[in-house]
Amino acid sequence: MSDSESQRLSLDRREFMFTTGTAGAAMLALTPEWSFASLTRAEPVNIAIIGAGRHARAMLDEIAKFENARVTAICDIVPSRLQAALRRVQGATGYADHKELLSKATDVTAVLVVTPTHTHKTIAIDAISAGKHVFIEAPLAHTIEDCAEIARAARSSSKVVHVGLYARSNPIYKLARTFFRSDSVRDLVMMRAQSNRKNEWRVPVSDAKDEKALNWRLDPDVSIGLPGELGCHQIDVISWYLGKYPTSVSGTGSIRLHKDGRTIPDTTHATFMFEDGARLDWSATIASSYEGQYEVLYGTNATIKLAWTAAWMFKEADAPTQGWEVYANRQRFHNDEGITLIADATKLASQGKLKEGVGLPNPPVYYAIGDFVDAIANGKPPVVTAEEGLRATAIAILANQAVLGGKRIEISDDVLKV
Amino acid sequence: MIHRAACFAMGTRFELVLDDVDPSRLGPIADHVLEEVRHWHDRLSLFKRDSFLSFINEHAPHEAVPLEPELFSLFELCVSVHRASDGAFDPAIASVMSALGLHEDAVLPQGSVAPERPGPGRGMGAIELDANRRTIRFLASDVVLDLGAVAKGFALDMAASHLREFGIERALLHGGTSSIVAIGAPPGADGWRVALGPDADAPVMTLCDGALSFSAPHGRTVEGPDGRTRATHILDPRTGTPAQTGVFATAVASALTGNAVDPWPSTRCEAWSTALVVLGERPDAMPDTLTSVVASGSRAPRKWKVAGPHRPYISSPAPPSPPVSPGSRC
Repeated sequence: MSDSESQRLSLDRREFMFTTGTAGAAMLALTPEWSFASLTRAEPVNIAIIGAGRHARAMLDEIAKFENARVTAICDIVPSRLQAALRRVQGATGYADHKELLSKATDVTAVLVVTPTHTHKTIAIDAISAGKHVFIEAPLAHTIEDCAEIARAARSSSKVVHVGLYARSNPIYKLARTFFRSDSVRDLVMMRAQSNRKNEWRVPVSDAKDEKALNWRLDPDVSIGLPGELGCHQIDVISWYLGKYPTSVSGTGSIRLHKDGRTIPDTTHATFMFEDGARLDWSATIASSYEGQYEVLYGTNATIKLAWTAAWMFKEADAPTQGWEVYANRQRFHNDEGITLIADATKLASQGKLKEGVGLPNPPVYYAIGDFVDAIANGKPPVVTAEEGLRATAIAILANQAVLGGKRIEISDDVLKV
Repeated sequence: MIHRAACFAMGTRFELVLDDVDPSRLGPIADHVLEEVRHWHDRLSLFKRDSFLSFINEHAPHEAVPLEPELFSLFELCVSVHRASDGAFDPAIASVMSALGLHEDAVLPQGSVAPERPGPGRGMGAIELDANRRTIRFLASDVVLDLGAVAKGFALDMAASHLREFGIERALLHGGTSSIVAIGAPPGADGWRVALGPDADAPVMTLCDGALSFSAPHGRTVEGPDGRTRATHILDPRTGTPAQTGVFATAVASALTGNAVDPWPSTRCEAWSTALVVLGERPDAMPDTLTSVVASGSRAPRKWKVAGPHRPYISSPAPPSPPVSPGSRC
């Protein structure tokens, strides 16, 4: 066994409960889940959505695609947002308080928690205590202690508690992971990830009394910054792919654009070190949108680039050629050519429709909701557990502390365990 | 204080100019509104496999697809203009566009083919809207939606509705300069002045609480009917061939009629300006509430045929002050 194989296959102290893909599987054999057709045979799952902001709106749009799931209750403390959401969902009942929803909406079996991060713990634990299946958006909470409390509550529940780390439900990410964990990439060289966008991160507020509630992302008392809100998803991707978590993080942050009195950095950099010397360079900004959001894993044989709705593999010239590559769809990126990672490549190629398989057929949130509903309908365990949510979020919270303090922080095993 | 913000969406650049008594709100409001534009880009793009439009195109031939209220209104409006224009406006002929090589990167349903016989009962004529269930269904397998410029107008209308919710009384939004929505007027002016063409002597429209859409036959071209020359990318849906009229068309609509607010003036203008390019002249069935401005001849036409309620608001290069309607704040 080579060093690289032992690196990938050995179980070390940082490998927690990862479900490995089929190592060595070729594209020809892959048939990942592209739809949740089997769900249509099950009884509808009645869902309550708590929080009716922009992200909840995207979730409502996707839930509408499922025949066996329907939103019957919506809750938000802001009346205008609640009314706007209710207009979108025929027959749903509105609530201003989540406790009232949990006590009165007896038809509800599943709850989606899509509220500000620092409010997750109370709502999620109340929903778990009420005997509901619960989907909690990532990051799981704004403190490691809150994350652990949620994870403990989830562990005591017989219901599905799923954390919204979307990559793990994303068919393209699952497919690319099988390549990463096979010999396609060979030895890992380094990793890079970024989440770039250009926006304010500030919600327009008409009434000053709503400032704290609505602009919680800029409130230093509760915000976990860009590393927390954006980074936790990408930290999870890398950890899931590697099968291990980082041992330290160092970071810096600054305000490059939004000099409006805020103290939360609008541009951040963090370096995550793994115990075998692997390194992830991560950055995020809300001052430039260039190249958006992606993760790149560089290997000695190939590099994999993941961009949420698409993924590519860039092969080195000296890497062995595999049979399926003759069918592959390719895209040019300046001087490089990427093989598009798509499902059912052989079948599509035989039909002359390879191009039609490029890209994800639905937004990533669709697959996360699908996994949640599938687990409820078919008695499966959650695809993303609260403990996995705890680990990604805890590391993101520590990264934010490193950024704010401009320092290096060791990541002990203790913070990754319930 | 005037605030400007912009984003790229729907293959063009959207820009927003707004003013408010509280300048600290402008950045976040602009951000919120442009996010709305991007949201509809993501949902209505024919070029994104994960867009909701792609989902509709894939599933609506087989089953009724539920729609959110705003999208249902959009499709109702499309059906309405399709009928009133006698089929000259039809955003459900993407398969025809693709067959002509106009949609190289579009995501079309697997196996979609252009209809052998365009015309009545095809395209929007083969779409079923169920108002009670708020669903859309295609009654023919060759129906493929491509909202094109109408999506741009719709995104602008949605963006404008958010601005009004925030109490913004003065703003101008445009998508690629050809689709424009005006809220109120700049301080001390009767409206936002919009030139109908790039030249200094192009006619000028004064727009206040309304929308404007400009459609032109130039831009992208396809192989013409003779197989040798190039023809406009705007198709005549009734024949499936490039529009032959060669006209430039602008449609103008008010967002306010008395106290009533039309939530879809920009969407309406986009649909009708496209229909006007196909028809070549204003049809009798075009609603009286819309103004049409049609010209033909060159890339920068000088003679415009104007009809409709906004006629007094269109002027020569040195615009006189337009009359102010009773009850209008412009």
